[in-house]
Amino acid sequence: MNRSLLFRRLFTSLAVTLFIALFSFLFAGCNGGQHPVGDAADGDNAEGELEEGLQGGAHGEGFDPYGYPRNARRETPEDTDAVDADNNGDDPSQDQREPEPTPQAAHAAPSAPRVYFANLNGNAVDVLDTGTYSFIAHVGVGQKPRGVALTPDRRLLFVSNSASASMTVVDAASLQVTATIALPAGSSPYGIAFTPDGASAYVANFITAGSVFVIDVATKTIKANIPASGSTIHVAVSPDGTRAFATNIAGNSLMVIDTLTNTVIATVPLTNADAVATSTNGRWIYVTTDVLADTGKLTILDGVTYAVVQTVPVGNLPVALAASRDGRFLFVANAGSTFVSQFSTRTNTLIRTVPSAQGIQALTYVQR
Amino acid sequence: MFPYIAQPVLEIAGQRFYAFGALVALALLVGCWFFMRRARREHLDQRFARIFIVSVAAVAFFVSHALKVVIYAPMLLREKPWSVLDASQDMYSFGGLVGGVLTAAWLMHRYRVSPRDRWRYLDNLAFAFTVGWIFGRAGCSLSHDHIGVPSNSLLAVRFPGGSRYDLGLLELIFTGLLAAVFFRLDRRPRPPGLFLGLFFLTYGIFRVWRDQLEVDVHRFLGSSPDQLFAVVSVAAGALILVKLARERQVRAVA
Repeated sequence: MNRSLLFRRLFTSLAVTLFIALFSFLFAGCNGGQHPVGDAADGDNAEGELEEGLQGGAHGEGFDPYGYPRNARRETPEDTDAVDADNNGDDPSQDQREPEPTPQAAHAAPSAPRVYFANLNGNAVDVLDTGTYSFIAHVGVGQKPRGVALTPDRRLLFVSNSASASMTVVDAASLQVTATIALPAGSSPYGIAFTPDGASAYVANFITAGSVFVIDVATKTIKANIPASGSTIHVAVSPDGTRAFATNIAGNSLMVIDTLTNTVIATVPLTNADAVATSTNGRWIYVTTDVLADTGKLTILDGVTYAVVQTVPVGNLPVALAASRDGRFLFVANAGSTFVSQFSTRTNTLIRTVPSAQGIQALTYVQR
Repeated sequence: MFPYIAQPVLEIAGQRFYAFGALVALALLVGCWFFMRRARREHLDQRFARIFIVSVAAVAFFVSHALKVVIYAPMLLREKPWSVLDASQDMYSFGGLVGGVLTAAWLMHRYRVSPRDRWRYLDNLAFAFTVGWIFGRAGCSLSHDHIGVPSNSLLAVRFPGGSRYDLGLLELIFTGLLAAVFFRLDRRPRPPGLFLGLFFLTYGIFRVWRDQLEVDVHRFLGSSPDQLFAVVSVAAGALILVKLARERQVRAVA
């Protein structure tokens, strides 16, 4: 082999290697190489409809579908503990609030063309028709419903009744209550997340000695109760269903749960962690943190190592997350500010703020 | 049922290298190499073939991203128009097909390729694309970013959260089968355009079916954009095959 041919082959090999290396560095999947976001199972979002979602006060399904109601002042675990201590459905912290219109912007799980709202003070789930933006049903549930979520097959609606230590199961088609799941006395269920196969529901128990309930969706029974070192408030499940992530707002951490064994396999310190969601491919975990500080943050964690990779300041009381359909944008509801933060998952920067009323606690994108 | 295989990730000095990207790069390289190899065998003009495949691959790659932005993220288009050019983000298979076909058509017009040779170049492209696509869809199968509906079918993947279709894997299987058919057909003389017609027809039909299994999809007029493209693909494939059949009849009569 002559020298020029040898050099040419070496050069070609090097170029091919570099080409492959560059691509393997840039691309992790068809949905982009940086931070693809969204929920492949339930997303029904459409571009350009954020305002409607915001006005609806809904919490973003398809990204972080499991919300909870709060007013501008963030409840501390102690507040909630007072609620749960007697478990009589009387929430002192709620009593101090101004009366809120019905339906209250508590939490919504959209299932186009419907959006379901947990009506906190009405002890009901209100159903909004997104075609006409009118309420079409009012389904009575337990006391102080905090979270509402559809099963992945969209057939059942699970509602967390924070003041009656129970979960209400509603048939999404007939809007009839089909079951009530009793939780241990003193429990205060909040955020709900389903495994992708719809077999299990993970429910945050927002009391001082909090926990995460694992509910068998088929039998409507509690499969496990995973103890936490503080008040869990929000849950998300990884797209592959192997991990559940529960934010522990009082314990200042994010719990990583192995869904096979239902044990905590890691605890990531995060100050006042609140809303949580994962990217479509599970590479990234998004958590709103520092929600009790003047300026809250959006914290991004590596979905494999659980290391914090970036922290971005947002507004006051960032209590909810929603993603655009394509996952390029992440919206953060700042309940204590008068704007919603729009975050680019491509550049990991805040690209704008969307003016809003103060007190927005939930977001969603709605496809019409 | 297939086992769930997590995407291999190589971490070097804090930087991550993903199997998906490596397989996409291989798809492009193998596709181009295969095209040139067959071009030599088919006695096609080597210089034009090189210009043709490099241009088609490059443009298809960029359009695969641009069309995704236009269709799926018009908001991004308004906010950051230059993002259309950022091909390092998001890929859209039909975008690549559209970009590739348009580029091929323009190049053949620009270089005044004879009508018969046009079909030969396009045939070669369809064959090379199918072979390269195997690697691309192997990457999709590993990154698991085309999640299908839950299923207990033999073709489903045992995802940790329950078995469901992996649409990338389905496409890998389909493309592998189609490539096998092409290799078989390539052994004997065939009319120019056969590979192209077969590709458009079968891939279109496959995609109409495949997209029914998708759990998260935009719908326009009751169909996903991919299904609309797939219908066009089926129509194009059928037209090409009908044309070939008619030419064959004419030759037989003559």
